[in-house]
Amino acid sequence: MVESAILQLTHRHAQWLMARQKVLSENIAHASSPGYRAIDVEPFEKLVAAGGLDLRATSPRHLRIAQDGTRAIGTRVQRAFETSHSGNTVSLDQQLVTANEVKQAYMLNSSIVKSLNRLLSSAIKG
Amino acid sequence: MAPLLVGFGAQSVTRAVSSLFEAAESGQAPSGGTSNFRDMLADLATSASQSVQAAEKVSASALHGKASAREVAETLIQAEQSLQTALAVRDKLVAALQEISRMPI
Amino acid sequence: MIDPIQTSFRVASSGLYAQSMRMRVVSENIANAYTSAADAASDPYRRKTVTFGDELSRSEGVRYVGVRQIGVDMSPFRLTHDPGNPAANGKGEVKMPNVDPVLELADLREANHGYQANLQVIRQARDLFSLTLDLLKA
Repeated sequence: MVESAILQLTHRHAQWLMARQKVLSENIAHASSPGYRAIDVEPFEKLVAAGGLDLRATSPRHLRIAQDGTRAIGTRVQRAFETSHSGNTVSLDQQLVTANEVKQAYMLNSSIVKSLNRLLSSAIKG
Repeated sequence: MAPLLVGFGAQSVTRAVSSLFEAAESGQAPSGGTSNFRDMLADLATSASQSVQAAEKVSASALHGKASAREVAETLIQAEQSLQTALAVRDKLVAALQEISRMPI
Repeated sequence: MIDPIQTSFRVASSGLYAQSMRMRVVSENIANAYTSAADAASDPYRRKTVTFGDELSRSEGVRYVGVRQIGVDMSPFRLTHDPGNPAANGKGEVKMPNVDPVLELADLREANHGYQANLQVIRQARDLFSLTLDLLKA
């Protein structure tokens, strides 16, 4: 059975959010590591525009090779708003704000999936 | 560019609701009153299908950060209501047909 | 395949561990900041340092953080004038630990801040997992 376009989108969006969650976990874990540069994922729009759910061709921007569905989601070094004297560019406040965005987006995503599934079920069952 | 949003869900809605319209058609005497009834049923199905498509479209926008959660909730509620209405009318139609088929000839 | 939420938990845990090790070392520095040696021939407490390192996990696509080593700060001891002290030299000077409590406290604060943030990531990972399970409910 082929997934409808909207459910494919929610699936991709969820993968993007999971990749983002991993990235900010890493940033926060390295908040005190000298020389560590904060990273972020490529914007969601870019991912959707690139199309395809499985980009096997590697690109220099794909810094990560992950086997959990976040494979083709590229990361990039974040623009540094502040740099410590050790060269660390992680801003904990900024990371926590991003974390909140991820959570909200994930809540929206799962609500949409639930509602659409409910609609579909009632249409089929009547 | 957002992908074409013809939902599987929307197609099911149309199919599910209009599946008995053929049955309704077959036993009717040709008159203006009958086609109006059939049109009304068809309109309900279309309307339900369109609200589902609209809900899917707004949901996609919201995932891209272009629509609010509120808008998603509103369009989804609208779709649910349209669908419930269409299904309720279909169910009534089914019940009526069953009654008719049980009438002694 | 490793669940990305699991990965998030594990990375945050490595952060928790690293920051708590750091806090332990800093606390030890603070506790020994004013302890002189037993006699003039010995050295007092030397400040300890923590060096963080990272470890790449290819399958998960993340870098974990870890404590690469606990080192010793070889900067010179402070000298205080205290002739009555058993560790005083001919000039009445006593070698004191090369620890600046003010700097250590700042370090402690930063480590705690980092610790709390990692804790927040763990809470969030837990919430995301919960939301995922909710999808399976009505």
